[in-house]
Amino acid sequence: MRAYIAILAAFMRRLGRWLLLREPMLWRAQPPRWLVLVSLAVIVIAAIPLMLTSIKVPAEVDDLTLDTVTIRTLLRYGVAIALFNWIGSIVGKPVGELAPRRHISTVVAVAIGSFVWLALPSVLTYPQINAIKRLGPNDQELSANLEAVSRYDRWGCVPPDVDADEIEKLRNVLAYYTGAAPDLKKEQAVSSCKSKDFFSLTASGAFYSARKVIETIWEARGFGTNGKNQFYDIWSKPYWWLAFALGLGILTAILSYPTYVWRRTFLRR
Amino acid sequence: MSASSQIDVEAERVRRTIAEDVQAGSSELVEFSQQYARNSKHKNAALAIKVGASNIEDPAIADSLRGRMTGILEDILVDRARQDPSVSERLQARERLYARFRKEASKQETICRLDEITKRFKRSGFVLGPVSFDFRAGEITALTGENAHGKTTLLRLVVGEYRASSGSVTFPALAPGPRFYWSRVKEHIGYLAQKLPDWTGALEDTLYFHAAMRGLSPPESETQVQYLVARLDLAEHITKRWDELSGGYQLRFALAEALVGKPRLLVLDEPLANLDPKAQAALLWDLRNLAKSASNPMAVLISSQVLNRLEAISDNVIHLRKGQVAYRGPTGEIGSGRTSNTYECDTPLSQGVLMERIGAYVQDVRHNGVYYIITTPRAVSYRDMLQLLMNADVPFTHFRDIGRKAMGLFEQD
Repeated sequence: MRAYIAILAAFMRRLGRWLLLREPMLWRAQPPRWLVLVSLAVIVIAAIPLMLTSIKVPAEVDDLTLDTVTIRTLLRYGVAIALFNWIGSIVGKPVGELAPRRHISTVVAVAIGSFVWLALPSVLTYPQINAIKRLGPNDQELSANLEAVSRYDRWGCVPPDVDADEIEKLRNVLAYYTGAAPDLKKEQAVSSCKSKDFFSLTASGAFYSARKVIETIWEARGFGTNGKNQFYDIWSKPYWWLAFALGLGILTAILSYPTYVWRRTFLRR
Repeated sequence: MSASSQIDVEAERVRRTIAEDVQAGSSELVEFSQQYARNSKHKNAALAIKVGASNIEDPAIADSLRGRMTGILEDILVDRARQDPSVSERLQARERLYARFRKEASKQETICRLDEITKRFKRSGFVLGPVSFDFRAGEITALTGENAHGKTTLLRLVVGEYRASSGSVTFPALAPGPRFYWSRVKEHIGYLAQKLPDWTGALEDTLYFHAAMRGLSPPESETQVQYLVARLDLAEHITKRWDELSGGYQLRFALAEALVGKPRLLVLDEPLANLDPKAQAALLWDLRNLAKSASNPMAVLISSQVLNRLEAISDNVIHLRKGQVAYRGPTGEIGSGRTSNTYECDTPLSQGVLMERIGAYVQDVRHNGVYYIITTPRAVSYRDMLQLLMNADVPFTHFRDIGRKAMGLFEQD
C-alpha cells in the first residue's frame, strides 16, 4: 500500500510540475490535488454501503437502500463544500488581466471537475442498485408477492373467507422479505371495516416492511425505465448538471479577473 | 611549432627578462618589436624605452618602465591577433553584435505615451493632470511628489487599473495604434503595487507560474527564474512561506515576479519603502542595469520618497504637486529655469541667530522640520554660500545644493 501511495505521490508531483511549466492556467486549478484526490475520496465513501452490507437476502435491502440514499446525499454536500474550496483556491491565485481565451482551460477544468464530482455519487450507486435487483424471485412471483402483501388494505380488514392456508402462505412471504416469520393471529377488526365479520391480523408492521422491500426490488429492476421512484433522481436531468458544471467553470473564469477590469469596463472608472 | 606558438614563447621570454632586468628587457623588447610588431609606433616606443632605460638607479622608475614595456608587448600581441584572419573574424562578428545591441538599445522606442491624460475622482474632488509624457526603453523615470498628490493614481492609469477621464494612454512599441487590448499589452508590463498581494503556495512555483504565464518555454522559465533568484539573492528564502518572509524579501520576490518574462515596461510603486539602505542601493543598481540592458532595454517608472538614491539612477523626473505636473523632464535639467538657489543646511543655531549671521546675504531662511532651507539669489553659487557660512562662523554638519535636485521641487511645494 505504501508503495502505491509513493508511486501516486510521485506521479502527482511530476504531473504538477509538467503542468506548471507548460499549462500554467491548468496547473492553477491543481488537478492532481483536487480532481484526483477528491474523486478518490468520493469513490471510497460511495462504496461504503456495499462494504457494510453482504446483501444476500432481501431482508437487507432496506438497510442498503437507506445507506445508499443517505451517503449519496451526504456526498453531495461534501462535493459542494469541496467545489467551493476548489474554486476559492483557483481564484485565490491571481493571474492579472488575461485575454478571455486564456481562461478556457480554467472553464474546462472546473466544468469537468464539478460534473465528475456531482455525477460520481450517483454513478457509484449503480453497484448497489444492481445488487438489489438481483435479489428476490422472478418478476412474476415478485408481482404476486406484492399483490399478496398489499391486498385487503394491508390486512387491517381481512374478509372472513380468508382461510388458514392463505394466512400461512402470507406468513412465508413476510418471512422471506423481512427475515423473521411473524405469528399471524386473527383479531377483531377495526370499526371502519366494510363488514362486522371482517377481522385483522397482528404484526401489521411486517406487512409494511415486506411491501417496501418488494417495491424497492421492483424499482431497482425498473430503474431508468420505470418512471419516477426513489432512485429516479440519480439520473434525473443530467443535462442540467452539465449546464451547472459549465456555469461554475465560467463563474470561476469571471471571478479570476481583477475587479478593476470590471470597474474600468462597465463603470468606466 | 606554429607561428603563433613561436610568438607566444618569445613573448613569454621577453616578459621574464623585463621582470628580471629592465635594461636587458628593453633590448629584447626592441628585438621582439622589430621582428613581430606590425605597427611602427610599437617599434618606436620600444626603441624610446631602450634609450631611456640605460643607467637607471631608481627602483620606482624601473618599475614604471617595466609596466610600460609590458604594455607595449601586450599591444603588439593584440595587434597581431586582430590581424590574424580567424581572430579578426571573431572580433568583427563580436563588434557587429555589439553594434546591433547598441543600435537597438539606442532606438529608445516609446513604450508608453501619456497624452494629456487626466483623472477625476467625483467623491473626493481630486483631479490628476493633465499629464503628457513618453516612457522610452532604456530610461528610468522617477515619479515624485508628496503623499496623496497623485503618484499612485498616475501609475494605476499607466497599468490600466484606472480609466482616464480624458486624454489617452497608448503603447506605441507594444500595440501600435490608438486602440489596443489591455490583456495583450499587460503581457509586457511588470507592475509592483504599493500594497503587495499575499502569495499562496510555494514561492518558487509562483515564479515559475508567472514565467509560464508570460509565454516562456520550460527551459526559458528555468533559466529566468534561476537567474532572478540568484540576482535578487532569493535562494536562501525560496523554500519559505510568504508570511515567513520579511517585508524586504516579500518585495524582492514581488519584483522577481514583475521582472520574469522580460517586461518592456516596469512600473514600481514605492518599492524602496521596506528596504534597508544597502538593499535600496542594490535594487536601484539592478534596476539601472536592467533598464539599460543591451538585449532587452526597459522603460522603468518608479515612485519613491527616497529622492537622493532615486535621482542618482533616473534619467527623467515627473514631480506632481496636488495632482498637477510641477516638473517633467530630464533629471539633469531640474532647476535649470530657477531664479534663485536653494540650499539645505543642518546647524545647531536657532533660526534667529542664523538669520542674524547670514540674513543680509540671503533671500529667505526657514526650517522644514529637519534642515534649514536657505534661499539665495541665483548669482550666489554653492561655493559662495559655503564661504559665507564659514565667514559668518556658522557651524554646520550638512550642506547641500538642492536647487537642481528633486528635493528642491518639494521645497517649492
